[in-house]
Amino acid sequence: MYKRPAFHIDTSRCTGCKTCMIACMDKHDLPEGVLWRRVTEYVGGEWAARPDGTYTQNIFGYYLSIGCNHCQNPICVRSCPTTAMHKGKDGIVSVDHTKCVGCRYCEWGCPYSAPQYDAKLGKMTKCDFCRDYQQEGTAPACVAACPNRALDYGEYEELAAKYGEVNVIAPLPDPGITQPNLVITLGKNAKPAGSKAGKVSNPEEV
Amino acid sequence: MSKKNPPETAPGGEITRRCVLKWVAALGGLAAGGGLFYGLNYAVSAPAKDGKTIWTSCNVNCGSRCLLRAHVADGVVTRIDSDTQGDSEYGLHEIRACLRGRSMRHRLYAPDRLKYPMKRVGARGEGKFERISWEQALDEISARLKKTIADYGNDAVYINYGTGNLGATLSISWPTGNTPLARLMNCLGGYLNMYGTYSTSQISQAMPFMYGEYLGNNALSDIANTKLAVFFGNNPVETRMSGGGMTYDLMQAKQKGNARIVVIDPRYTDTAAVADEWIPIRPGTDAALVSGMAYVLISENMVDTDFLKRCTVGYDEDSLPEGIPAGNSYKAYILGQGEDKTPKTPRWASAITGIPEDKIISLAREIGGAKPCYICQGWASQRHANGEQTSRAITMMAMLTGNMGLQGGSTGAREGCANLPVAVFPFLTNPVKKAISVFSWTEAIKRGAEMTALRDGVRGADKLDVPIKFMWNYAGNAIINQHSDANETSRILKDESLLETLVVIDNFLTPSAKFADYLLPGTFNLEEDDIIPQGSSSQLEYVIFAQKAVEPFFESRSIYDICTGIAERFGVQGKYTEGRTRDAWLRKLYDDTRKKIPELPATVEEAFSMGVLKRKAPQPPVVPYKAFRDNPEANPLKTPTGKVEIFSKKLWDIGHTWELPEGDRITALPEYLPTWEGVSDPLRSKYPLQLIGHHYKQRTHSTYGNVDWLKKVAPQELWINPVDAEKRGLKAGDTAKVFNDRGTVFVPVKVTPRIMPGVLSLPQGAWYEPDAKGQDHGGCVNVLTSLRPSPLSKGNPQHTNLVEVVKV
Amino acid sequence: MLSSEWSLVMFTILVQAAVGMVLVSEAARLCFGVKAASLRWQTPVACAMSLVAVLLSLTHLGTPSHSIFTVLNIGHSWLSREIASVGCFSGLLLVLSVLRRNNASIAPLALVTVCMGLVTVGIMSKVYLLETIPVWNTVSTVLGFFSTVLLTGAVVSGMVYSLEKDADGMGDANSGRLMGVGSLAATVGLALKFVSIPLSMLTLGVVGSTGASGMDMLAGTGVGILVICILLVFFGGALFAWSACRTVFAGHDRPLIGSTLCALALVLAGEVLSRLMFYGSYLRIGL
Repeated sequence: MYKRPAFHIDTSRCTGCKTCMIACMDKHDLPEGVLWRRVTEYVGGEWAARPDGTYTQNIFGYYLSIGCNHCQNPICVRSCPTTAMHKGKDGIVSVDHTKCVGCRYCEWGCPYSAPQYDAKLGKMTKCDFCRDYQQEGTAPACVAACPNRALDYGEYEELAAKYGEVNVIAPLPDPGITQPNLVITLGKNAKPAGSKAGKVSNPEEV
Repeated sequence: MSKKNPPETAPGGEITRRCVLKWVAALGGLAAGGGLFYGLNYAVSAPAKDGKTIWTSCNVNCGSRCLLRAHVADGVVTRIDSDTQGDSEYGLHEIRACLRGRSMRHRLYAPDRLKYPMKRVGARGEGKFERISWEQALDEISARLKKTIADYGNDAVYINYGTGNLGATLSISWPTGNTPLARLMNCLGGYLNMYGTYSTSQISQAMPFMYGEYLGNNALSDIANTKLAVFFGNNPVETRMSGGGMTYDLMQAKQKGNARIVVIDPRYTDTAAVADEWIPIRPGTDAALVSGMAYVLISENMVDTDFLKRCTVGYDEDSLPEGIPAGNSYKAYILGQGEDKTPKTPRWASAITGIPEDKIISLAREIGGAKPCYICQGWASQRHANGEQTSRAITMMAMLTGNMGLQGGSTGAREGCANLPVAVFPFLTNPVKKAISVFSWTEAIKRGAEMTALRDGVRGADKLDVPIKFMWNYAGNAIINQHSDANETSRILKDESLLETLVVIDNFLTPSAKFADYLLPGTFNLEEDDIIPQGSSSQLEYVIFAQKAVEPFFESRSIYDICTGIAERFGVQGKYTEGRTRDAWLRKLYDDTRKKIPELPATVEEAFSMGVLKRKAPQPPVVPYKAFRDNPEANPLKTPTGKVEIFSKKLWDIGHTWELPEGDRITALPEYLPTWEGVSDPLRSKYPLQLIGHHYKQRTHSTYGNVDWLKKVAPQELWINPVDAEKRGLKAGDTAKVFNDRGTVFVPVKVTPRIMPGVLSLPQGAWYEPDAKGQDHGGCVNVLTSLRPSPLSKGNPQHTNLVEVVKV
Repeated sequence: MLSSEWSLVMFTILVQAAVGMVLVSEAARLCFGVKAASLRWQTPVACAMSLVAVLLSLTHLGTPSHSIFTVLNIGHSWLSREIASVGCFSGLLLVLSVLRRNNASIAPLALVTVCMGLVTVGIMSKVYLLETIPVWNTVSTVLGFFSTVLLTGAVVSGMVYSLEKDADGMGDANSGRLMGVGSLAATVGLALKFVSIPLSMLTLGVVGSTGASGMDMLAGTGVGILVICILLVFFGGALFAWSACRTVFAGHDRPLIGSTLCALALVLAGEVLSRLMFYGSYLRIGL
């Protein structure tokens, strides 16, 4: 049981392989279009043609794997009209399906795309930190699956002590809005929050 | 790609039992007389409570080999995990499957799984089949095989290239010559051999001329001991994706050492994204870059003259073989003192490669100054019309700087890796000695009897005597999907007067399977026991023992049993089986493996519950060719001179005797050769864009190409630079028509600055979906690739293409 | 992304129009001396509109059977508060309609209802003022909603009144005053629209993480469509005002149905279009 369950993503190691996405989809049997973890590709830079026909460029790119940050001040919880979206005593933000009305208001507001609407169910679903695995003492499916060991999980304080307190990187939003329990290791291409240097270039995949 | 047909209810009972219905889907595009295909239900994901967990593997041609853990309940796989045996020590770390292995459940239960043996009705290639019994299938196939052998001889029988299950031992599908099918044919008089592979045609056939063998290299883990690592067309992060393999090895090496990593590639690959610099290069021009850098190294005296003198021949005029005219040394070639009178200056290289001159100069100086330097190449650079030259040229960077045989150094080849040898299923001997290149089978079907050694790369004889009349295709979707020029290949295959019999054994109705005369359902690897040799890894030696997780689907049979059935009908069952069932062979091979690896447990059952045996490879990593470097006289290479043959007399002779088409050359030196549909082809006025087909994470070649989850997280898209896209009014998500004289493909675009202007990439392996007009809607790059082979290896030049693209 | 656009478009317009109707008719009744007897249809129709709006809003829910739970979080959630206040407003309208069967004025309750209505629209605005949705998180949203209250509310009110008089078959000396109040409200509403719509065009320039702006979300034709919206509501409003003036100055005893109907059609078209644009321009920061 964590006070503040948190994820760590090392963007210098994340290669955008999407294994975490598939591992999560397999474990939770997610229906089509429901993605509890999403890997975004952030790309920027320009090409400059020279008179001699060659090119110079400053292209950069990196990937970011985000599930849910089980925020301290989650916008989804304060927006939810039915209290279905709630932060449990174990710090995990999850949906009570006996109350969820499927209005998708949480989805409108969450700047990490964590709440995912399940059309068949008519309700919202989301990363639950693999609560059942937590009870067994094993890692969330995504963390265990990552081939490059770019993901970690645990108590926020411990992760912050181990990896630092950076909790934002472009294109993530200002962490002051929801206070995400997220620890990020920046890669050499990392762009700061609010940067317009690049853009998300794989919207069709997330 | 989206499914075209609406869902259809699955049958009840047999496979699904108590599982909740989660998914139903029908096959697209198949009309069949008696053979109806029902959808399968994906079981609800759940750990096995009253079930079991089994160690198994993913056996595809990805270059890695991962451990999987299947949770099975009521005869159905309900969840897939990977290696969970503990990750605390690098060198004994977890062999974590990539996204494809993790999606195994949705591949095992994909809706187009084959159930019964089938026989073609209608014309070949229409994909219309009727269900038949195994008896009938084996009877008729054997009869046709007998007739082919009687009419044409064993040379007319060919086992085509199929790598779908190459990770196995008893059900191994590649090397072709190691398969149960090869063993069968070897009991029946033999079959026409192949040399080379679609992955490595050019490099594998060229290297022995320069190095006496397929050149090895230091492992990626040695990057921890180097100053500078330069990757030519090498993308391990996307082509070696296992957590027990190269991508993780690269991460470890980066972390442990201080190397600066430079990636040279037309695309900003995922490897480039974690490297320190990306140098975009026009496809097919790596040898020009190398030549330009060689010019700098030579003229600025940064070459290792001692190494070149002791260990190589052909670098300068003094070391040329007897009888070779002056001006044919590498130095002369580079400095413009050779026949072409063209100094390979950085400016000359810049115009060809698209790389700025100052960058070529600075990179050359950096390579020259880094001691040691890790140079490696992938297989992209060599899969070109000039690939034999290119692959040798890249190694010159390591030869000129004398990095061969050094810790943290390199040879310029593909990275080396650890290996733990296991017992091989004995395939006997092929009485037939003739061989053709892996890429020549369509020629051999069309005009086999005319193919010669000097013109068409026939080996083992001066010419072939007969065309290919009977073709086996096991666990492969290469014949139509991965071979070049799908439309022309389709025409050749459809002519039943040419190829008389095509037998396909597969799990799914692939585009290639649609051309079968007999289509047999093979077992999936999770449906049988096997011994699984390791995949590529720098520091980890391992072997996996994969246990059968679920029963074979409907009437699926293992390749061993299928071959036994054929052997019976030829009366050679005794020779083929040696009295053993498949299971008995497994136990025998396990015992043989124990002799090589004594620490293995006594029984195969214990091995199955162990799942995997791991051993650490030596640290620091073994340095290949160290003995040769230290003492080339005592430890010669297997070349005629015993040294690195920068100038190869054998190639000189071949270049002067072989009959090559206009424009093709085979040179003794690793020269840059411009090619048809290369950067300087005048055809660019009609088809201005170069097209490559990179290896994409959605699939392993075409395996996994029918898995819905993977198509969602990594959809098939054509990569195009914003400059080229804007000129054509193409925006993200638009459907484009990409075409040349060979065919047309419709595919959505990914507009991204991660690819060079002037270059497109259509990831290879997407399943061929031709419409009534023969235009493809699956995004299959091989509709656009050419059947013209590369000069020396007669190999597949699948990245050498010119196309145009328009918005639809 | 907002596949439930239509139901929310109709929900917001209907509720806001109902609030506007009540505002206009009560103002006419309480401040301008229009007799209750002249306004018999107003409250019931507003009540019906409000109830229809609530029913329509259920269609955008994934699990409508859980809709009773939506008032559980009025402590934190503006959406919960919105549902509660729409419910209250509808309830008050129902009570008012019932109590007014005998043409009683019931001014205090009416006043409370009007206030509840305005509070409801205020809360409705807050629902969209999420800090993660910059295109919506502006004063333009608030102005847009309140302008609908005034403009559409007034025109619907006038329409209902016209139909009522037509059905009665009798003239009403109050026609001029009611239409006058209506056109006053409509004019103010129109003025607010002229501020709100151009303001919303400014925020459409905000670029999200995929590099697409609110404008791109409207497939680039956004500016053109918003101009059309302005024109539609302008001509609708103007037609309504003209019709009202005719009634007032020509001393007619009932409004012109034809022109009022046209006015309503134009105004509704403009409102629906601009509300569709509003939802269509949804763009969230972050991922």
